[in-house]
Amino acid sequence: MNPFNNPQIDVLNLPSFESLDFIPLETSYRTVILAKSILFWIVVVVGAACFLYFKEPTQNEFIIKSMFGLILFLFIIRFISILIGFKLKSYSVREHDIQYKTGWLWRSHTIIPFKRIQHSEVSQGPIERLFNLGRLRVFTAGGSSSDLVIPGLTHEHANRLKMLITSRISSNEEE
Amino acid sequence: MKKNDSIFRSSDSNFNEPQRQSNYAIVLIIYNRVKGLINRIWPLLLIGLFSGNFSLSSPDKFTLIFLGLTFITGVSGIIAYYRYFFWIEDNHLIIKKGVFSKSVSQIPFDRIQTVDFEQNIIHQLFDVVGLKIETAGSTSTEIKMSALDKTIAQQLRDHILSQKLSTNTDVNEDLQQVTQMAGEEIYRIKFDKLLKIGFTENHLRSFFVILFFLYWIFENIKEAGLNLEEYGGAMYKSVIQNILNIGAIVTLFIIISILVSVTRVSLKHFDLRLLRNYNGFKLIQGLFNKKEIAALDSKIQLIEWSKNLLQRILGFHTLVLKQASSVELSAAKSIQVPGVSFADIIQIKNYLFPNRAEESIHYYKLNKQFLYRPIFLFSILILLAIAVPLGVESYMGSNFSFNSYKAFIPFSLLILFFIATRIKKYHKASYGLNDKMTLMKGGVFGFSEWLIMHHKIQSLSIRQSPFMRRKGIANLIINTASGTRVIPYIEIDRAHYLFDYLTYKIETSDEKWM
Repeated sequence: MNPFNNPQIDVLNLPSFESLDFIPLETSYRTVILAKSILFWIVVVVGAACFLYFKEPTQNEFIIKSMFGLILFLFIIRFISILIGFKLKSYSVREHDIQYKTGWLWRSHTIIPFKRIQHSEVSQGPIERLFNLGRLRVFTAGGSSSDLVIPGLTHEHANRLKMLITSRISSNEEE
Repeated sequence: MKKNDSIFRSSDSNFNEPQRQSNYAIVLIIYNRVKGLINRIWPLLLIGLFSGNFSLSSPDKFTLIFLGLTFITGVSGIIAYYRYFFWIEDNHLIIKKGVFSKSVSQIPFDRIQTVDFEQNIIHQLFDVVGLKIETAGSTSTEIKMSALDKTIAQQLRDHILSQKLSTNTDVNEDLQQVTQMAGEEIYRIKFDKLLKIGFTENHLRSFFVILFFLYWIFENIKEAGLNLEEYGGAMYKSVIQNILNIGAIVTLFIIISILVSVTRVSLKHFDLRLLRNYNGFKLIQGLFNKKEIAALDSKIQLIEWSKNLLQRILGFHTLVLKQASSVELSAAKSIQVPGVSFADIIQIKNYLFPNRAEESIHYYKLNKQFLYRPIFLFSILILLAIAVPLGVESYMGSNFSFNSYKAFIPFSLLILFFIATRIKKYHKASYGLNDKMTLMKGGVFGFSEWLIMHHKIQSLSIRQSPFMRRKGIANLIINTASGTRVIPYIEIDRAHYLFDYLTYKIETSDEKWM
């Protein structure tokens, strides 16, 4: 295999993302995702209970037990993945780009240079509003697969980031 | 229409007055609407036909509903024509339309990306053209006009493009050039070659389309109350007879598949011509649906070419130039050129990368896990497929039949085949880059390659599964405005390096991605 070299640029001095300090999300966001998850599972349990009550008059106890066992098991897995996964969610902003890391088992790390951002927006769900949190969405021309969403920022901070991005985009266009 | 013509000739600032499309647009609007209606309800129609209660002489409820719907569609089409106006007002194209609710859309000229003409068989009959105007930006839409007089369409296009030119010079000059100039013909498909191309298509696709279609018809006929299985009952004779029958059916299927592919390709790529201007391509093709697609070099984001086993023998490649489009990843916006030789590809690449951008590309192999991991997973899957029925059988206890053992031979053959293809795939796969572009080669029996210029990259990702993290490898995901490509199974250091390097390249490049 060829040694990885490239004569035109100074390979050793490439800015590396590894030396960056990634900023964790607001801790209150963990509460938000937990709350969301609990709400979701309550709906699932209620749904399952309704289904059993109205659709299955035989009341087979084994089926009921295994069903709720499964739901409980999935819930615990989700709970753990939220707790561990939360610590791994972090973002960083450099002079020319924005990056976001996420995922516990399947990890992903995405970068979008400011030059390629089409627009950005700050959104806020009902639970997030209670905690004064917002999420920053960054859109590129690369379609939905390449868009970046950073949740769990304080609403003010998300707006500040959005302003920063907007100013960067317009300054790039002026050049 | 005649009146409009005279207005145009008398003054230069012509499109100021609201005007309608060509009168023939009524035919096309109704045609499109009825086609849409039939598309939506044709399963119902088919059932109606098959169950035999669809007749015009003694109309029943069903027929009446259908005729009623057609009538309403037709009338609304006529109203739609008379309510559709377009005109130009200070560098905006304005379109007012709507049958029940009126809408006015204003499209600023500098948002307009391309103005394409379209001619299907009805257009050709009346000597009119359909107009498709594509605009930039993620929230935008495209505008379609059903039919315009040829000269008017040409004038409108010229007008828009010349106005664009005067407001914003750099990009639009190029657009002007590529859409208006005929250009030099660099590639053309003659009819005999077209047949060869059709013959070397991937027939599996046609095969499945036919299969699906037959299945679908079968299901619908069954729903309509006819049971074909009753007629088929007599077919169960002897094993040999069955094998012969299956053989005959498969042969027939293959022949039909080939015929379908050849027809499809011939219709689509009939008299294909690829033209070149100094900074863009233009593709003209089609028998009934004559289409011309323009592609500026700056709009092309991704270049791919591939050949399958059959095409390899004849030296044919299929080249795809993918353009950034406001409609996400629509196939219509990529230029597909079949049957090109390797020399043609080099020529086309030379147009796209004139400054010897392809020099000194270093190639690297993927990690060995790209070979081992899928084999491991596939084998596990197959073993499970054998073991689970066996386990169930022995658990059930009854008579321990050895049925699942019989499956062992084909399954192990399947695994061997998979391993062989995987080895081929691993040896053919490599990625390469220099300071201008990243590319990746691959293929199993054939060959495929994609190529992305660094300044066309929108964003980058590194993804790792738990397994990959253990082995210190990762997938690098490259997003462009016309699709995502993955360099899979590379060492994590290399992935990090590429991530940094490509980011650096995007951020320091002055070239625009579009």
